[in-house]
Amino acid sequence: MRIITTIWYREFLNYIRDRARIISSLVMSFTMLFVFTFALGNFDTSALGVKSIQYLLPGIIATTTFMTSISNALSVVEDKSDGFMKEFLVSPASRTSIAIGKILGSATSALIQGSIILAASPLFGMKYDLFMILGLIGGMIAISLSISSIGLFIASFVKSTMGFQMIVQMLMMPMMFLSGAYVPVSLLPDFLRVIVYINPVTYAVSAFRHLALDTTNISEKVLEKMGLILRIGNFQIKPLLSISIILVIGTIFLLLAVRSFKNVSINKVALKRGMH
Amino acid sequence: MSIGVERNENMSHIIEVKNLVKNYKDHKAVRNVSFNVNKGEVFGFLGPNGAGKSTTINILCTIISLSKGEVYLDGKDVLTEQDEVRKKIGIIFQERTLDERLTARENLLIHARLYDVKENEIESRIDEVLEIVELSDRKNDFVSSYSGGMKRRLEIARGLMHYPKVLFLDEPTTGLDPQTRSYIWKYLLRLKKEHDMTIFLTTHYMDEAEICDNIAIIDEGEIVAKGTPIELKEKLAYNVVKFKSDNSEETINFIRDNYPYEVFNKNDEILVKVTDLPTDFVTSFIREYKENIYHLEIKRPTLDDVFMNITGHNIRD
Repeated sequence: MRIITTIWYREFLNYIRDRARIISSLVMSFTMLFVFTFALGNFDTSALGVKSIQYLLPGIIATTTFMTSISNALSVVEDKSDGFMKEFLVSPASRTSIAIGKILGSATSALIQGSIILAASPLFGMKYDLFMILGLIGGMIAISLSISSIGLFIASFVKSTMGFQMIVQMLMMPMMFLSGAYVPVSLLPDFLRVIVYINPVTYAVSAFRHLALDTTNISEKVLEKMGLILRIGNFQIKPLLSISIILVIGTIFLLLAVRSFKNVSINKVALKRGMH
Repeated sequence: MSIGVERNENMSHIIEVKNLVKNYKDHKAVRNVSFNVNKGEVFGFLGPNGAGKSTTINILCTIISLSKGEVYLDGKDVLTEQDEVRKKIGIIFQERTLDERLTARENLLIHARLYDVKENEIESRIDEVLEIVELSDRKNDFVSSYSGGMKRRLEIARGLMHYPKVLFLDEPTTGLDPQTRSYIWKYLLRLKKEHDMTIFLTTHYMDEAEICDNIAIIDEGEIVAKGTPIELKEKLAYNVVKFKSDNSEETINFIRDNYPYEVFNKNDEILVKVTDLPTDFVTSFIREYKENIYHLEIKRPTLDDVFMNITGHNIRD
């Protein structure tokens, strides 16, 4: 346990000191928000009886948390390339604890990042109550832990920071845009919907929207049309199931990441050799 | 220095390596290596790059596994008691392994927790190890602001945080300027003296090897010589007497006729390989030889010569 908190502590220190990273991620999220609310305004949310911000913002919180989580594992690749990983790997600390500490560290910064958007959202006209806030925070925790595990899994076998960034870019764009957050799923052709349904971000976006709206007086048909309830064939996926799906995907990748991290060879970490 | 070692041999060996072999897919990195390291000594592991130095030190530090043989560190098996061994050793790698975005204190704190140092002892140990490497005033500075030599010193301090019994240093002074090198040696010798710490280092600097209590020379995966630097030089190298004369050829013939030593002419300098006491030769030669000689000097053997004589190539090759 002490190892986990130690690793977490280091990740946290590095996160709060890296202002450029915090700011660039926030700028990206707010840009999305502006583009989609004011410029495009594609979403007709009248059926839900709310302003479009109430519908769009949860999706942006979900994708921000997602983006931060997946790119955080870059720190693992950096540790490998600048040698610090050796310090961890030769210590008596267990690899599993190190991996979990890394995931918690990454999830914490993603949670903070998502919470900043949430906290700023009333400025854009978002309305919420305590129950909504707690629900969204719970959802953010689930997605940040799961996606951080995916990130660690990728980072455990990637050798260079460049390689990691390329893989993440490759995953990030489709996962963000095929999640229903910015483009309604109903507008997508069938072959792309397959990707939508295996994408964990889809479930996060759907669940987050559901959590951020009062749905008591709205018919299931409308909820389905708006993507608040997902339907695959005859099967309905409601928020609780969505969060569960995210957690299952997360658990699978957590196990994969821990296993893969255990096999990281210390010698391969030594990329920078001394001068001779 | 090693008085008492004979009496109590097994107890004083902090590292025991027996018939160590390490094979990689396509080559044999270490072939049947055996040696012991005494408690509290500075042990130097010498050899050119690619000789098997790093492989051996990595096996000793539990970083890589061995193919055959036995290695014990303070009585613990490096293969089966990995965590026990890891707690007993401090490792200073060849490459930088600090988190430069953190302060010195934070780097040391994280290390202490990874090695399970009691929380209420951590702060005092941080002050203690920083004192040793004279970095106390930079405790709360970010490591990124440190010079190369300071980073190395901080790494040594970090290696000491959990009070290891053996400190391993892989090429500790490579790439550092001469002044920093001598500082590092000052700290290492102080540790040895004041804390009775065993220091195991690899190097290809022969002048550093001279400081060691015992050395082993490794070449192509095998130990080709071991002993104290003085023993090795006496056994495996020669003093060279060097001078000039008015007529080199005549002088060389005179030496060949009267002494059993090999003589060479190199750029008009006469070199005599003296296999016993060089002063005896010099006094006798000056008495007997009536012609003028100039610039006479006795060149003491270095470990470079030892290495050259055993392996036939220079350590830097």
